[in-house]
Parts: sequence; structure tokens; C-alpha cells
Amino acid sequence: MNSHYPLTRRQFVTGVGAAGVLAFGNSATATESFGPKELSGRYFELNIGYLPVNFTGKDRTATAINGSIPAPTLRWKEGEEVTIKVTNHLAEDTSIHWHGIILPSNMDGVPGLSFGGIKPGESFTYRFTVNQSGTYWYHSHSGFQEPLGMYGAIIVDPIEAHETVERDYVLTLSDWSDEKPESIFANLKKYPHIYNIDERTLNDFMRDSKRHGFSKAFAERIMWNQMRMSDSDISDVTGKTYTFLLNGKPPANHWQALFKKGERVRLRFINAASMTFFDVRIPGVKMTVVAADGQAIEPVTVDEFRIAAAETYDVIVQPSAEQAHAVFCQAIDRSGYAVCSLTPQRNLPIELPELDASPILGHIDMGMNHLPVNADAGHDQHGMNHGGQTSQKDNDDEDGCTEEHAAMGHCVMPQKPSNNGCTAEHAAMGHCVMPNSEHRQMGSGSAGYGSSKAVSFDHIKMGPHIDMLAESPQYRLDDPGVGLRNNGRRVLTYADLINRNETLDPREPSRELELHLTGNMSRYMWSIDGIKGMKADPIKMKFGERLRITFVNNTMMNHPMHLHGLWSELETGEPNRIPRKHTTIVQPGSRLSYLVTADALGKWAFHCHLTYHMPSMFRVVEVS
Amino acid sequence: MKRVLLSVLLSLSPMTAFAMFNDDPWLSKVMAEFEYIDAEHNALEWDVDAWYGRDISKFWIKTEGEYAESEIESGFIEFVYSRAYSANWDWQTGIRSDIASESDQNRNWVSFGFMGTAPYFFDVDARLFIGEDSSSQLIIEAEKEIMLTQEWVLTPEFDVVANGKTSQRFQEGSGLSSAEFSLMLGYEHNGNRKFQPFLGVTRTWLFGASQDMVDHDTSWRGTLGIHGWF
Repeated sequence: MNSHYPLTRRQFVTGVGAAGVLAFGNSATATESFGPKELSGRYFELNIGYLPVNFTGKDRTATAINGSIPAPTLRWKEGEEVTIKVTNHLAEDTSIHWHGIILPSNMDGVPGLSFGGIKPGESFTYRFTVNQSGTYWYHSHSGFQEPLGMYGAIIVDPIEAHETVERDYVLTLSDWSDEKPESIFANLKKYPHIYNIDERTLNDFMRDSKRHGFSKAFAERIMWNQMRMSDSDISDVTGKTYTFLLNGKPPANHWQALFKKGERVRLRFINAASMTFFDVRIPGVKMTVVAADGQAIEPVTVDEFRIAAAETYDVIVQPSAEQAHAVFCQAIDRSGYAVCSLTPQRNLPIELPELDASPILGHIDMGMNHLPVNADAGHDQHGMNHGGQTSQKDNDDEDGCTEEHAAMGHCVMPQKPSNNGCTAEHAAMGHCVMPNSEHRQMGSGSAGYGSSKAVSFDHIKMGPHIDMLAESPQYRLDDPGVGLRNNGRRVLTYADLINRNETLDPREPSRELELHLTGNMSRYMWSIDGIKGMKADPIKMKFGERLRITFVNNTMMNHPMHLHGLWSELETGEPNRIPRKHTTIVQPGSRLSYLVTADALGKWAFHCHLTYHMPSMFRVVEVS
Repeated sequence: MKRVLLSVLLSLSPMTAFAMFNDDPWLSKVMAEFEYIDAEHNALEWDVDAWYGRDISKFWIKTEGEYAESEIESGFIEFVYSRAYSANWDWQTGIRSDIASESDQNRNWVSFGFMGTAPYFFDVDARLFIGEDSSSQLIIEAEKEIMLTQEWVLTPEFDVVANGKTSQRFQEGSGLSSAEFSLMLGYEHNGNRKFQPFLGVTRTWLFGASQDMVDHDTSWRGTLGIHGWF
């Protein structure tokens, strides 16, 4: 019954475990490598099986689609019906979810909601019409199969192309661990900061004291210690166990994208990682972002962007042909990076930038708008040297602004002014200038502008599973996020996202749903409104209704919230051009709103896309 | 009744399929510390805590004691039920049995206490024992890990013991009876948080009637040990 299909065509995915070959700042040579196979047409056969892999020097068994990690890229055409026959050669149930594709509920691939899953030895045939274009991806929605390698890209070619480019590459980011996902999860439950290799140390304190004075540094330590929280708690799972991959290749044996002089190259970034946010840049090359989550946006040129697990971004670059360029994707906590080269010739060496300093959470990330202690006690975000990483140059010396100052609204941000320092009550009264729009003030509360309600904490079920509430969560669309603030580079923010097309449903939301992301880091428990997925009633939506979902993040982590089946229309202050997303980062201590038109019947999954948060930060959405 | 039974059954059954995996599995954790006290004493101290359970409810076994000259000088084992009641604290209740080699020194107790993390990241285990012959004992243990670097960890630990009444047989005086302070310098190789050899110093103070009854070294002593969990 279990033929373990791929084992019959044994294929070793090797990553060359030559750790240390790539020293920071050194140039590196890559071996010849190719991306995953592309399959196109209307009929596809996908086979799920075990695959022996070796990314780090250790043999492990992955779960893979058609024997490849990433899985083959599926190339579809807008308007066409596609049929995909998926056969399970594993010893356990499997499924495939078409992430970001709008389709009937029974084709969405979530076992228990859309269908019964695919039993070992059985096949399931997906069939649906593709009514959108852009970059999407597909992955397993069963067990821990996605972190073990079950992810691949989907490209849907538009009927009418917006951009013409000479080259078109998919860049799939992911994180691989030789530890079993079950063990990682158990470790997190037993010792939640086990993977943190950037713990606050006495050394850091001494440095802070030297720089900001003992009393300020001490007051800052007191605050975090009183709260029993760590401001260096950026990622639950880090480079301590992860090897970061780009198109299935670790940095030591990186993937290469070729181009010729003068060519415009489209890079389709997909973050298929289970737990990692990546900050992406190509030193010396400007990136023009043309699509977010597959949907065309007004082009915006940036130096860097953050991509959450499950998000996709399309960028267009026109690199100079004198050299090979590094597409450098550092993990949000700077515990490692994925990289590939963009090169005019095979095997040219690339210059790798140094990792940035490890980010430190500020008060704003705790949802605080005032300080219990000394107001300008700033962390030394730069000049740190953890675990062999070399820090970037001191930006804060140039303008006297630390990351935290920026977060507090004390400095001029590289982007637009922020509405920090504005309480929910103020916002409700229309007293604050909302980001990205002069008329935001007037529009507050109406479609496209976000909520005008004061945040309410009353409906949260409190208990041992919650360790904090954000006392004053702010809309922070123009905040690039922890670790990217004021870094001297132009960083994409959600405030930059403007749909290239008109808003299809201009109705005002008829109601608002406020969802609080809650958790207790020290018990590693996560929930929404204090209730975890399995214990929660479904969120009911009436077919055809237009509503607003407002998130309040009461945790210190970024959470990429993914709504299946319905677009999340992010309210960035452009009511006529509301960008549509499928996965949205809700920053720690922040508030974020999007509109939803409940135009697809059935049961849909709605959850945080970080693997180890998913079952708890989960809701079923029922449209009837 | 049927509904209760059904919900109990449901909570025991494997999780609903859409949840992908069980977010509250039964897990176990064993935390062990073994310490060798300097040559003159030639004693081995153990402190092993283990739990089996889920997010909110856990069963604990805690044992500690001192082994010297081929016998257990003092020691106990506790079986504890633990329940989370706030973000940082668990209520605990259980039974304790003393296991010293000299059996007339052993008593059985019931315990009530709480365990968790106090502000400033002090890990606290505080419990009250009610024993045979209406004896009672309060033990409070607190420790804190201070990361000097990503590998070097300094752990101060402070324990106090108080007794409800004076007993010649058990060599204990009523009120505050003893306090112990240890300072351990541990090394987590490569940031491995699971295993830590350490060097330490420790000192005991005796108070009140206990001072006269107990023959215990109250000078500073050096220790060498390992701490690990899995």
C-alpha cells in the first residue's frame, strides 16, 4: 500500500554541510544549481512521498512533492480550469492547500474543513478555475509535513500582463531543521527560549550603562525584569537549529539566478518557512515591488522588505552586469540568512554583507504608549556583537536616534510620520493623524481607514495562558518593524501598499470583529481572545456581507495571520485602492485592520501561519 | 452527565483534523542537578525534579538529598499535582516521604505550595509541609539565572527552612531553622541550554534551637556539579 514512491527513484538532495566555508564578509563561490522543475498546463499529477535529504551533513527524511524540495513550480493561466491529481505515498494522511488561491471551499485542502484529507495510498483530484494571476504557493496542511519540505510555488500568468520582463525567477525561502518538528515543539513547551542565542547578558547591560548611563540602563532592565519578559525574544525558533534555504539550497551551496546586461528581472519571493521572517535586500540594487501576495500594487522602489511566513512579494530589478549580486535574506532575529546570487555569469563570487545587529524589542512592541520608567532609556541596538556576528555601522551616532527612539516617535522616521503616541481613545475621537494619508483623520472608521472604535479587552478570556495585554495598541502601518527601524535603508511598509486596481467592493463594513492575539511565551501557549483554536466557536459570516476584522496583538511576537478563501483587504488609507492580501503581519503590540467580503460559502481556516502557533491561534470561519 | 462524559472523551481523543497537530500534548521533562561537595565532606547532593503533563495540569516528582559515607544522610521524595493558575504561577499539592538511611529520621508529609517565576525572573518553589505528630515545615527555594555571556551563566540560589515546632528527635528547632546560599558558575557550551557543568560555593546558616542540635558545617564549601534537562 505504501509504495514510498520517491524512494524508488532515490534522489539525494544535498546541501553540502560545509558550515564555515562561508565566512561573513568573504566572497563565496557557488556550485552550479537549478531551481525546481516547472510544470505547466491544465492537468498535473503530484506524488507525495518520503525523500532522503542532507542539508547540513546529516541524513534526514523529508516529506516531498514529486521528489523535490521545493516542489515543482506550477504554472497556470488566469481563467483556465486546472486539475491536479494528488497521490499520497506516505504512511500518514496528507493534503495540499493552494495558498492564496480563491476557490470553492471543498478544493481548499484543509483536512476536517474542506475535505477528509488524503489517506495513505489514495489519491484526491482537485479541480477549480483560476480567477486571479500572480505569485502564490502550495503546501501541505497536515501534521508537520510543510516544515519537512512540502511546499512549492504557483505562478498564474495573467490574461493581460502588467509588466514585461526578460527574466522571471521564483525565490522560495524556507527553514530546515535536523530536529524533528515534534521535538522542536516539545522543546518550546519545556524551555521556551531554548533557541535564543541572543539572550540579554550582563555584557549587554554594561555596554548600555556605558552608553546611556547606569541609571537609564538599570531602569530599563528593571522594567523588563519586573514583567518577566525578554526584549531579545524575537523568534521562537532560530538559526540555532535552522538552516535557512533559498530554493532548497543552504548558503554554502547557494542557488544562482542568471541575467544579462540591461535585462529586467522579476524575482518572485515566497516565504515558505515554518517559523522565520526574512528581511530581504540586494546590496547595491534597488528593488521595485510590483505585487504583494500575488496582487499587483502600485510599484514602489525600496532597498529592503520584510517577508513573513506565507507572504509573497514580486520585485523587479535591473542589476548592473559588472558583478554578481547577493540576494541577502537575513532571519528577523539575525541568527542566520538565506542567500542566492543574481549573476551575469555562472559561479561568480558574491560579496556577502554582514548580518545586522540582533534586534531588541522596544516599548512600542509591547503596545505601550508611555513608559513606567525613564522615558528615553534607549537600548543599544547597534554595536553589539553576538555569537560571532559583526554588527553593522552605528546608525544611531549619525542622527542620535536609536531604534527604540524611533519606535517611540521621538525621531523622524525614514518613511512617513507615525501616529505613535496616540492612544486608542484619541484615535477614536479622531484626534490623531493616521498613517499614510492626510485625510486619514477624516476617514477614520470608514472603509479603507481602519477602525475608529476604542480597543476593548473585555471579551478576552483571561488565565494562565495570557502573559500580557497591549495597553495602548497602535496602527503601525508605516512601521517597518523591529530590527528595521531607522536602519538607513528604504524599507517597505504596509503603508506603501496601494492596489494597482480599484477596490472591487466599495461598501462600508457593516460590522467589525475585533480579534485579540494572545499568548503566554513562558508556557508557550497561544490563543485568539484567550481561547485556543480547538475550543473556539466558528466565526460566522453572512454570505455577501462586508465586514472589518481588527487585530490587536497582545504578544511580543509578529504573527502572520492567514485567512483562507476570502481576501484580506488591508486598510492602508487608500479607500479606492485597497490592497488585497492573504497573509498579514500583525506586529507585536500593534493594531491592524482589514476588510473582508464574505463572498465564498463554506468553512475556511483562519490562523497564524507560524507552524508552532497554528493550531492554537486558529479559528474556523463559516460563511453561510 | 452524558454531555460531561462526551466532552471528557472528546478532550482525550486525538485533536480535530484541521488543527494539524495537537497543541497540548502530554510531555515530560526531567531536570537533574548533581553536586559533589569538596573533598573533606566527600558528599554527593542530588536535586531532581521531573514532570509529566500538559499545559495546565502536571504531575511532578521532586527529590533531593545528600549521600555521604555510603548512606543517605538526608533526603526526600515528593509526588505533586500541579495546576497553573496565573501566567507565572502554579499551585501544587502532594505528599512527601523522607528517605534518609537512618529510618527513625523519616516522616511522611502532605504538601501545599506554589511554584513559578517571580518578578526579576526568580524561579521560586515554596511549600508548606504538614507531617506526622503535628509537625510542620516551610521550605522556600529561589534561584535566578544571570547570563554573563551566551555561554556563561551565574546562578545564585537561596533556600530557607522553617519548622513549626521544636523536636529533639528530628534535631530541629521551631521558627527559622536554616538558610543556604549557593552561587554557581555554569557553562553552556555553544549555547546549549540543556546541559551545564558548574563550579560553585555554598554556605549554610543555622538559627535558633537548630543551631545547638545540628552538627552541620557552616563554613563556605566548594562544589562541582552538573545540571541538565531533557
